[in-house]
Amino acid sequence: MKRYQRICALSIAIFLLAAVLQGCARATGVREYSEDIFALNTWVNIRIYAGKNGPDILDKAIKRIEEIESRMSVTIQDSDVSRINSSAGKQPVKVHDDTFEVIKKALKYAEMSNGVFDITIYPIVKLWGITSEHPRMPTDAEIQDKLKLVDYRNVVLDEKGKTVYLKEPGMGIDLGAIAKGYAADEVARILKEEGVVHALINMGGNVVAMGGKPNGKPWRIGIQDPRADGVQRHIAIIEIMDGSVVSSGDYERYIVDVYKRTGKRYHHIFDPSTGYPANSGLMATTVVAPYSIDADALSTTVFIMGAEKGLEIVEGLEGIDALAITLDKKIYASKGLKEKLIVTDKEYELQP
Amino acid sequence: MRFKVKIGDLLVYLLAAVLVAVGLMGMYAMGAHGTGKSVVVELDGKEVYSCHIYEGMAPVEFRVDAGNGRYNVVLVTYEEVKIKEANCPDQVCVKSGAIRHVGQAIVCLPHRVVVKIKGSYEDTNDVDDIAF
Amino acid sequence: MNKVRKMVMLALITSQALVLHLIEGLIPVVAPGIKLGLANIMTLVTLAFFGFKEALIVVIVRSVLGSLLSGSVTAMLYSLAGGILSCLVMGWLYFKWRAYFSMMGISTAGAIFHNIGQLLVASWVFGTIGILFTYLPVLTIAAVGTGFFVGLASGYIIKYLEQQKWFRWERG
Repeated sequence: MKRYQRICALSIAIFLLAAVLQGCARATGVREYSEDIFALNTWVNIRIYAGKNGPDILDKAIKRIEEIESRMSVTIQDSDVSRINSSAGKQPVKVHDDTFEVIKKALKYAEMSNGVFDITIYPIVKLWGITSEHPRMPTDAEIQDKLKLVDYRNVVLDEKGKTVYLKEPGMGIDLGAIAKGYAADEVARILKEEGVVHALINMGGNVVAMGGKPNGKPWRIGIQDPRADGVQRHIAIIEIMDGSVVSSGDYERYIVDVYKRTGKRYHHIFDPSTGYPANSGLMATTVVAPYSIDADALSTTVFIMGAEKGLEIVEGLEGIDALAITLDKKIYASKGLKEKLIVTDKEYELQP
Repeated sequence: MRFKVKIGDLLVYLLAAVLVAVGLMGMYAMGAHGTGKSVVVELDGKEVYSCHIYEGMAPVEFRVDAGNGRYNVVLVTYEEVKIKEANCPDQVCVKSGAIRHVGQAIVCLPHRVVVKIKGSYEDTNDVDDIAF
Repeated sequence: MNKVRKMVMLALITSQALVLHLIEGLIPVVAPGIKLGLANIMTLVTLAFFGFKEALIVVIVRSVLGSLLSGSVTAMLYSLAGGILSCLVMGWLYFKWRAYFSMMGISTAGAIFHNIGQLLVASWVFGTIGILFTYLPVLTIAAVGTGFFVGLASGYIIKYLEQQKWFRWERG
């Protein structure tokens, strides 16, 4: 009897130990964690595959996004960007390192594109108010007046003091075409630091893929149908393990009532040379790049430049690919992308 | 004798066997063969509603109250999830149509509402995300 | 056993149940819902030495306090539903059919109904009966295992306490 009792006691102990160990084994198990937030004027979704600390990692990433927003938003009163804009023509403004880096990068793209990509477009953006609640069609005189303020060469950076100065009073910058990309890269950086291998980040349409799917296959990223009228529908698929896919187009934000009346889309991507929404014969562009900040800036640039010139610039950049969709539903793609692109909609035709 | 297995114990184990069978049969009948999918609705990042998806489920329709009279009506069926109706200015959430797979989401930016399908990782031939 | 002594004993048992409940919370779960049910040991001990009403009180106090200390309102709901249902079943078996059941059998039945109670609440919270079917097989199999060991453990404790002179009891 004694012996029987001992055996029982031992087996109870083993059972408990096994339960505890089992629990530990599970703790290292990787599962999906996903978080949605609204930031940078858009919807952000972060999907990661991580262990138990998944929620903490997501928390960290979201804190960083909120920090970036608080520094680079034009709508937040005391952000770096707002302070730069309100001090235009008056004095240089000391900014955070990250804001400085983003502006520097933006100016690099401005130079490279000869001013096609220009963050000083803000006075024009404000005039049209397409992303605001009350967009309107300004007069030509108004546009010409504001256009004088648009010139990236009037942004003065001081590398030592980390200050930014806009030379002309009334000038303004808007990092909307690049900040989302930067934020997405920062999230990817934080995830990598925390040891996350597989992740998918969608920052208001800017997708960043990390490490492929958990089963080793590449992530399949759909390219939004620019004429789906708001429906989430893709016309093509790009498969990537790592990197960013960013689209720009005339379908994202435009003056809805003018479009309904006339069928003409006054959209949110402005051509700095005219002050009007870019009219280069394209309805959408997509750029694939290792970093989202580049993809973000370039998708806007290619959209304004048009298929031919835009793709020419992209061909000259190492590791970066792009596609442009014309108004007559033809897809032009850079060399690297042509064989990788899977077109799923027959209405759209990939040009050889 | 407290430790001796008695006749009643067998009844308990029989009950256990019956329950396992009932559960398995129920799962089979619902076609819940590992779908484990559920719909989650978030308002401003906070989960406000969730419901499981299984075969043969009756369609569920419910109203998400986003405050100040703003609302979205979500329709959940076994096949798909969509926002049927909303009083947001842009109607993007209604127009964006139905979602079917784990990881997909419908977003109403003005109301800060996200409707998404959660569940274990699903290897579909569909896209994992859309760049827009 | 006088009243004060009984109350002290019950308080001790409740606090032990609470400690077991909290320790269990530290052990990561193998699969959602699977728990060892260690606190059930104390429920069985109370049933054996004090009676059904006392056991129910121990279960309720343990569930409420345990959830307040470690969980949320929903956790309390789950805990109460499972605990009360399992206590009812175990009490019924213990006082009416003891001759036909071993401690392991009673404890296993309790574990099974603990799960059923929790699953019913989960079905109600999530608004679908599907969850009940999905978890029932796994949880029931787990209950057979955990119930056996919990029964064994409580059997030994009861046997030990019966032999102690300082622990005098009246059967309820």
